[in-house]
Amino acid sequence: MQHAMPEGLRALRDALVAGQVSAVEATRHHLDRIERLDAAVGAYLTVDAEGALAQAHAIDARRRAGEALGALAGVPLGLKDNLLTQGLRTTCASRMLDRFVPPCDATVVRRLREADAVVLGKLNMDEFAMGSSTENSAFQVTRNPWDLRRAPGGSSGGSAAAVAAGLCAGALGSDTGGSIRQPASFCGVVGLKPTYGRVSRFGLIAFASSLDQVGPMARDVRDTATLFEAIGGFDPADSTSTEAPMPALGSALRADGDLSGLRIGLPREYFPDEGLAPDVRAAVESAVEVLRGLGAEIVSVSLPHTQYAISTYYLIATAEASSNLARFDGVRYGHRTAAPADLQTLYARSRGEAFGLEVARRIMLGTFALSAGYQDAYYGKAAQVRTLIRRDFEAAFAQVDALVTPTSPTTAFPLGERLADPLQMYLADIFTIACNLAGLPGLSMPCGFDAAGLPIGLQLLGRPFDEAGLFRIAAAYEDASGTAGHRPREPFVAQEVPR
Amino acid sequence: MSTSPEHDLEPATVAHIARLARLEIAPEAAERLRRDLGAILGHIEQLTGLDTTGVPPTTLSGEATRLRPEGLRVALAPGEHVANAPDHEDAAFRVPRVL
Amino acid sequence: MSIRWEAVIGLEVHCQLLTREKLFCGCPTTFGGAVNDHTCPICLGFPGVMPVLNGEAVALALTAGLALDCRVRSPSVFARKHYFYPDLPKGYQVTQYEAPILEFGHLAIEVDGASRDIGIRRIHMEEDAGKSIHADSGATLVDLNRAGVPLIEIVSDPDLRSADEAVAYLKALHEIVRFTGVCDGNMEEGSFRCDANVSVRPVGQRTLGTRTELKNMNTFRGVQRAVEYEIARHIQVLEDGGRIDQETRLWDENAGRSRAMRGKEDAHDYRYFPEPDLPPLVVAPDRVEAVRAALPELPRAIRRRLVEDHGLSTYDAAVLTGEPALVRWFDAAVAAHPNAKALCNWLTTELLGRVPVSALAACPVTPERLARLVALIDDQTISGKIAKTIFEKMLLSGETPDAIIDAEGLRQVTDTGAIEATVRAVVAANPAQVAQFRAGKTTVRGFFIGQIMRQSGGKLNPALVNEILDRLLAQATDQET
Repeated sequence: MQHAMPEGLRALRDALVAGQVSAVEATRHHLDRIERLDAAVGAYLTVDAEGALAQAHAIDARRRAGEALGALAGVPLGLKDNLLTQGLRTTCASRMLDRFVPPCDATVVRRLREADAVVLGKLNMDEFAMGSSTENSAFQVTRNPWDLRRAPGGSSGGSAAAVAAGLCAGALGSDTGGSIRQPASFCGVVGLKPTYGRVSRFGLIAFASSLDQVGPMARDVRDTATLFEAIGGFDPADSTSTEAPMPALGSALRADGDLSGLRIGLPREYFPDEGLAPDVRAAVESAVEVLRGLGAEIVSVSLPHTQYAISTYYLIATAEASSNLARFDGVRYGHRTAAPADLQTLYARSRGEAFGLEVARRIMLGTFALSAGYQDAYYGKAAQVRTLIRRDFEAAFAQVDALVTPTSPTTAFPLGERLADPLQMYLADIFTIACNLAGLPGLSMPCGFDAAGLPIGLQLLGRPFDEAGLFRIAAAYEDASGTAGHRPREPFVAQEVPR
Repeated sequence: MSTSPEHDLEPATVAHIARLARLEIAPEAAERLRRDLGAILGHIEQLTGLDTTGVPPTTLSGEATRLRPEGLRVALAPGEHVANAPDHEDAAFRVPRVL
Repeated sequence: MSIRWEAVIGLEVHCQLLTREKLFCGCPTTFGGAVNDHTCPICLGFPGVMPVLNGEAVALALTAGLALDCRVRSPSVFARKHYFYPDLPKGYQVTQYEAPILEFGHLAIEVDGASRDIGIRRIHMEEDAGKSIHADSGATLVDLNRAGVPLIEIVSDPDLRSADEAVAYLKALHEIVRFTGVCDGNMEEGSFRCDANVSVRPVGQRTLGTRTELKNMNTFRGVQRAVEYEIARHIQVLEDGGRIDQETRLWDENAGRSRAMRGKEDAHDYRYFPEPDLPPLVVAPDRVEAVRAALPELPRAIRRRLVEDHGLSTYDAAVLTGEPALVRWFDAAVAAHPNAKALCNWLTTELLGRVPVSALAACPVTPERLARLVALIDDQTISGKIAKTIFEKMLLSGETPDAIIDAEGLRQVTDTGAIEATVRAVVAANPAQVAQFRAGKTTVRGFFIGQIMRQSGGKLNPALVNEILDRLLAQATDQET
């Protein structure tokens, strides 16, 4: 039966609709793969086999009864473990929440359920989404299916690895400074960070509220678009969600391969002489040639404040995080230290015990950035520089319709390589961070492999709410380049790490 | 400012921030944290050279908040509000005595 | 030589807004309820959930602000104020900090017949905290029913110069928030709470002295005593060559003194920053005008109207404006029958003697029925004495005055022929008393009145009875001489 299982989200959905495959078969197929392969990858923190099968049975029964079903009926998906799932443990990969069972669903989860998708389980991540390698999970290491010695990227590393390894038909991640796009790049899948406000954040456990967005990850551009259509759109429960209608993606995804009339910008600051791996540069440059060949006009642009993005990001993100994580106080839920003598011990020790090093570092930095005497110089200054960064993009988008850059300066790095130096880890996010500061949509998709056979990511950045424009370029590039559909060889193995 | 040009945070500053954040830091971790924060703040110091006079801050939360109509409530089943609580007495959350 | 001191006082008043739902979630705001019954993931501060602002709360804040002549600031901005406490679920309170919704208002107060304008510096919206209960076990129990209940904080300028002025301001404010339906004003349940900032300085000095903040006053009298105490304490300390520490002090009503709160572990560092989950609050000018147009009549204007239009005494006007419900009741009654003075007397002495204000709405004696009763007196259908009997029956039976009069035949007799017949019969039946009257014992006249009223069941018009009796007694005397 397994050989007959279609690869990819839309192919599976179509087979389900056509009755070639049942929801139970599709779900079992993925549960079997998780059973066989996830011991090596470590993508899932929680597998809800029972719940998934029950859901699949119900969907099959409704299909047999001739009921109308949702757009993703029977499609098995994985969810990053910072999205609330009613009745299903949600940990944020933190000791703090290792037994937390939410009383409600995130809006995006509810929308997937309403679309009759099947939830397989919850995916590993950096603790509270803080990290770029998924190594900050309190529970387990997730390995890159292309090379098990390497990191899948982060913080949505579990989501990217699960999609790449075929442990789900698609997944949701979240992106605060590149947490969807960078792991998508490292694992050779497609990931979208929607425009700020496009997808509801209700039920996404907040890291940095003014930067966070939930987004889809899947094997190709159109699968990603399908998932985006299912989760996007206005939510009255999120005051920052936009009432602007979702774009119709049909024409953007049409396979006509014509990008004439489009102007695409290459920001000079994203192609530095140093710090960009030669294979990555070469792959992105040849992708640009493909876009040119498709009729797009390629223009060089400048985003002059790019060099300040990391500093700005780490002040704003940590300031908001220090506030968002104040609620984890060991009173209403979460970890509490054993037998605290007094209230202050309860707070400080519960938090000290349950938060990992990176989370503690960011809470400290953020608390400092907001504290009396420092707030103007740090948080306040960063909020102003954020305006300059946003204006850079406004000026660029007055000239061009989209920007093309590498997603990450490198391909997947070996596990453990950057843990010792947090600043080096932060600098790995250099190309993805400004997008969040400006609230723009960003998409990462595969554009080839390096000499070690590791996927390289191409990043597209668009105007606010122009996800359709990004999908149009991405679909045309994917069709023309044939970069979709590459899967890591099974069983997944550890490659020889050169250098 | 207790950050010197080398961004050498005073241990007392680290301790003060940890107390504000209600975060107990093991003595052996404190020095590493102090150095890490110093290095990050050292990088961040680049912002001070940038002139932002008259530049408004960006918060990006949106133009105007919407007002909630009545009748929207996430309902909890009986006992569900304390289902995740580390300690409770009947329906109340329990903590050590507050002075 | 002794310095003359001047007190400088500013008040911060928290009012719970009379909304049905909490500020950022749909939980009920009703007082009490089983522990944690009025909570949901949002007001419990669960991970992942988000606030959405209650429109009704914004409307009430605007109402209060416009009643206090404030300017509306748009946009205003919510911020997070951080501190750790078990009754603060998120580790921060959502409040307005740098950009409050209302600013620059004022409120007139009267003390010793003189009127003064007190500045309102700002009014901002915020959420309330929960409640910590100290259990017998020694632990503290946390009830979050109150957490997220909408409040406004009304901050005065430091314009008040005495405890009397502070209380006058507080009472005027209390009256306004109740008359506008913004707040129920219940100080016991904590829906109207006051903190006072107090300092003193030598008369003539412009700079302010060091202030202390007084908390925990739960009555007007408590505010009066606490402020008086604190002013005296400041003066004493300064005259003794001491120094006032800027600190928060708790008023101890039983001991009649204030004491410094235990020093907090770290000095306040609330780390305010704009709440990223809530866009700015924009209030369109037409919305402001709509709220302004819908403002109810304020107590000062009502009192002026009661005196000038209805001829009531200032005392009666003050009694009626003691409660919004009383004014509404009175106005409804006067609308039905315009004898304001009589209605005010019946309402304040008879009705309120039996029925508390809180029960007026459910009382069978409605404004219309009382108005009818007074109208029946005024058109001489019944006497004032009979009216009291009818009023009692109205209270007990819930009937209209007309129904009671008809059922019990209480209509006053004004037919002079009928009255004369009764009077003539009584005079004829009591020759001995007539003889006494004739002999000059005029007090016996009261005997005749009593007899007449007894026989007629009190229904005869007393003025006519008197007139006819006098005429017949005079005739009897004339006949004799």
